[in-house]
Amino acid sequence: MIKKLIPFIFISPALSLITLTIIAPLILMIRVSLLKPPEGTGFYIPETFSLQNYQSLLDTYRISILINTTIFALEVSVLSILLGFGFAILMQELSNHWRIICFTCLLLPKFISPLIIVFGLQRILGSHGIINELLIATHLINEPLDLIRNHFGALIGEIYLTIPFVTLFLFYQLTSIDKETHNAATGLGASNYQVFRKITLPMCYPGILIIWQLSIAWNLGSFLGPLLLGSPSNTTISCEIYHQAFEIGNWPLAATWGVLMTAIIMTFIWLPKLTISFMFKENPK
Amino acid sequence: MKTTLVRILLLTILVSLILPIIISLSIAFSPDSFLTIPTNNWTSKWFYDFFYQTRWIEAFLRSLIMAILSTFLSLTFGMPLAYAMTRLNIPWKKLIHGTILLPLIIPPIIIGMGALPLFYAIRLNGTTFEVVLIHSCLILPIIYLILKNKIQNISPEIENVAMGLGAGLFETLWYITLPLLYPAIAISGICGFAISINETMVALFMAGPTNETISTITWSQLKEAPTPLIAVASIINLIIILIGTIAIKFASITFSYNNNRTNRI
Repeated sequence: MIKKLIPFIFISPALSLITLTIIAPLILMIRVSLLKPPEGTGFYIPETFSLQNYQSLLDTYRISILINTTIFALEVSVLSILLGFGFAILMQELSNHWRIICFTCLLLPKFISPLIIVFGLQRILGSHGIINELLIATHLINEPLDLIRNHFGALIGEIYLTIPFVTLFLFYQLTSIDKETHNAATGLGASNYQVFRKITLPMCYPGILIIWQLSIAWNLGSFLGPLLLGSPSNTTISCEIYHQAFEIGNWPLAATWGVLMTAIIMTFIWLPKLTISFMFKENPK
Repeated sequence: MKTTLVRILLLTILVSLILPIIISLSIAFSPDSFLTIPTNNWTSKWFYDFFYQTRWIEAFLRSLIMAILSTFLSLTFGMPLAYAMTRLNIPWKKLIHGTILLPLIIPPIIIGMGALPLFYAIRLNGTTFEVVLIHSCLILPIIYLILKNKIQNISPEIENVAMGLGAGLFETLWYITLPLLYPAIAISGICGFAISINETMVALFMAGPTNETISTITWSQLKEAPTPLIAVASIINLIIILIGTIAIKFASITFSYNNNRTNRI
């Protein structure tokens, strides 16, 4: 009797933790998004029901925020996968000694608060930052370039925060490919480019898909880059949530944004999976 | 020719990865109270200053306690979970696996926003414990993935032998499986500690005056009037994490003889 219960005893603490801190808040968030916003203090007016928050999302400004966020997440994820894949391929060719240095440089940003990284980027790219001072000192430009407080700044900031994970993940994906396949292809007369195009890249597709989904999920919630390095014209959903919840105090509208963002993320996670399983059902072999 | 080109490319990448961190940490040694990158005057007075500011010290100790507690909590919850998910029979394994990985894909801002009214309702708001709970939930998937990977690599034969010789399940876990897991537990513990101590978004939502962390003070200073103390706090955090990592490295060298012997059985 007790033997049958042991697996459930093993998993129940962790599952109850997840339920308390993720699932219950998500359900509560859906409920809050259906309440009326408060007039005075407090989070919301309890015991009300309205779809007013969802209707209010349908104005042009809020739809533009939604589109902005999605395009921004797509841009960041594609750019960081391209850069990270290049770096991972470069890391493959290195000796062990250099590889450890690369790993340290990639892991260091994860041991430091993201605020510090964004702060450093402000110092580098700002109008009195290193890059502008250098360019002015060498007389390449006369006026400082606008590198932060625009779309470029936000993009750079988020790429900096995403790229270590992407590179490490793709590096492990590359090392898990059997070296013998390379030797076989080269032995049969393939050039380096052909080996990469016909062998290495197709074997990496599953990993690239997973890390693409993950980085989209992270960057749909991007907050620090757009807020501290971007301009007000490219606010994301997260900035809007922070603004609505803390600066205005309209908790139900913030919760509505949260529900919408969770829905978009789940779409990006599930849609490729469903498409692939549908495509392979047509011809099982 | 080609190798020089590759080397230059590599150095550029590495320098550009590290440069923002070096720049912002170097401000800790600047003599001015407004933020300049020090050029010829280096000072360590901000480090002394840090230890005399009660607000910073309290927040620092609180972050440290939060990080240790949440790592401990999610390790104690994560170990049996990872073991059960690899070795034991559990219905709906895929669904549970997906549920545990949820904190990885749901942005922390949503977790923070959703959890605040909940903890307000159960009167936990403003305590250290609520941040510990949420942090341990954020750490759990990483600990789970690392430990699960390690348990899959341990041959089940070892456990079967122990059980065949008359040991119960808990004896086998305590004397056989747990010692083999020590390196993975240490690594995942360090990862969890680093995540918790640097976590910003959830702390931002949760923190009032009674449970400020290093991240929230850094945030409020960055928005208003930043001082070099931000960089000092970061350096101290980094030193703690690095000491932990080096200690694990040495411990694993010392105990590798024992481990090898156990592996060979």
